[in-house]
Amino acid sequence: MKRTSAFLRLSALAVCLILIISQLGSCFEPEKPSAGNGPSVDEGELPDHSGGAAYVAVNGNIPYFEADDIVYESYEYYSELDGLGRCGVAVACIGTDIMPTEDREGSLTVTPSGWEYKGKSNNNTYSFVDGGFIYNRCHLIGYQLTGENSNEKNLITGTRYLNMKGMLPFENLVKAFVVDTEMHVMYRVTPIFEGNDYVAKGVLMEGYSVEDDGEGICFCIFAYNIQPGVIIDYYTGENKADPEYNEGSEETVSAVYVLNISTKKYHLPTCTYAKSMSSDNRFNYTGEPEDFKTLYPDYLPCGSCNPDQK
Amino acid sequence: MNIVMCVGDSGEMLFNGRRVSRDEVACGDILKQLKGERLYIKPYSQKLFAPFEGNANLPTVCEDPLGTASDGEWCFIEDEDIMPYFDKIEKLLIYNWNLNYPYDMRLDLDYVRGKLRLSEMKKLVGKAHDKITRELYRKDYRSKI
Repeated sequence: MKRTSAFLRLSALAVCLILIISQLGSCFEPEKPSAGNGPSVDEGELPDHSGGAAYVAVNGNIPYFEADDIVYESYEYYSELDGLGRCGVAVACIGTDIMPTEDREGSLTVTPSGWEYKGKSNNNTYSFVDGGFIYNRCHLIGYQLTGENSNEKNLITGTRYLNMKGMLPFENLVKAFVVDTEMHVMYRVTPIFEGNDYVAKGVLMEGYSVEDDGEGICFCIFAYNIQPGVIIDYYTGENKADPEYNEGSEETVSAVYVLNISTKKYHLPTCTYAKSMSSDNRFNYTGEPEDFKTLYPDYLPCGSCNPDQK
Repeated sequence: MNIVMCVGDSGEMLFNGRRVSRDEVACGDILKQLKGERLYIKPYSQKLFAPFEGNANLPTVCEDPLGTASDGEWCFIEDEDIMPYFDKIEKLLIYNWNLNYPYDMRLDLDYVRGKLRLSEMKKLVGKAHDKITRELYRKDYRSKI
């Protein structure tokens, strides 16, 4: 009888413990914020890519946040992957309290949807792509904003062009505002997939500064997941060079001369001394060579690269 | 006329009618650099200098700095194309954020660098930027660094 009673007491205790632990566990589950439902945008309204733009304003640059979505406390939320392993909406109220205090370390090992197809990597290299590789593991919410790094719910297969020309400028915009003003910015990034594609066509990015009702930050844009010169199969992620691509069509302005404002010598951009010059002394002159002589008559040509003889 | 501007690495000024970036350190440095000289700003820029209230060298607020400033006076320009006034510029002080931002208005930095002489360049550590470059351009090439 005593044994049975002790067994019952132990069993009851165990059940209680299990219940307490399960309750505690649910407390740590991130609660889905209202903004986590995503923007109420009709994907058909998103403009197709034309010209060389990396992004385009959508909805008159007014984000789709509802009044209930706007909060004054920092948080971050990342959607669960869908049945095809694809990311969904990522949303955050960015504040200085959730920004990283250290530089990002370590390489990313997550394999986002579309990164591989049938066991073969899609990350081809092209001579005309900055850094060579067409794809980056693109953070939906950039590391500089929330410090979220190797999280599969925050990483998509994005082109180098999307990462650097489409998304990074907006992350820079938000970060500088938050750090300088110590206000909050509602920030939501929604990858847009067509049908069962494994690679997103682009991302819808929304930003809205909280304490000043959007006076400082207010944008709603669609950034294209494209790479000039490359044709992408968005279903598989496979890609190949566009035979009609003209490499010179990209907007690039290179220095005519590189000046060393310390030594007062000028160099060709290809000169060894120009390449090794400290950024504290380096200045890129981008005007006409004949105007250079008028503006900088006291500068001497480098004896190594002989810029006047080219 | 002298002009001071804060721009991104490609000359970015505005996106969707808003400045692309800001930094209290740059504003403090502007007041320090232009100490004793008249600086005009638009009402839109007033908030940037609010942390420096009490500073004896606060800017003068007016609707049209470029149309108001006389020779030797400064204008802080955030939301206006300065090219129509380019021939009148004696000095152009640029704070470069060294980062790229989205833009729908920008300063043609390549044009500036081809037409004015860089006479001073200094790196600053900002509040919101790791590196801000202060670049002073002058029309007169004989001016000393």
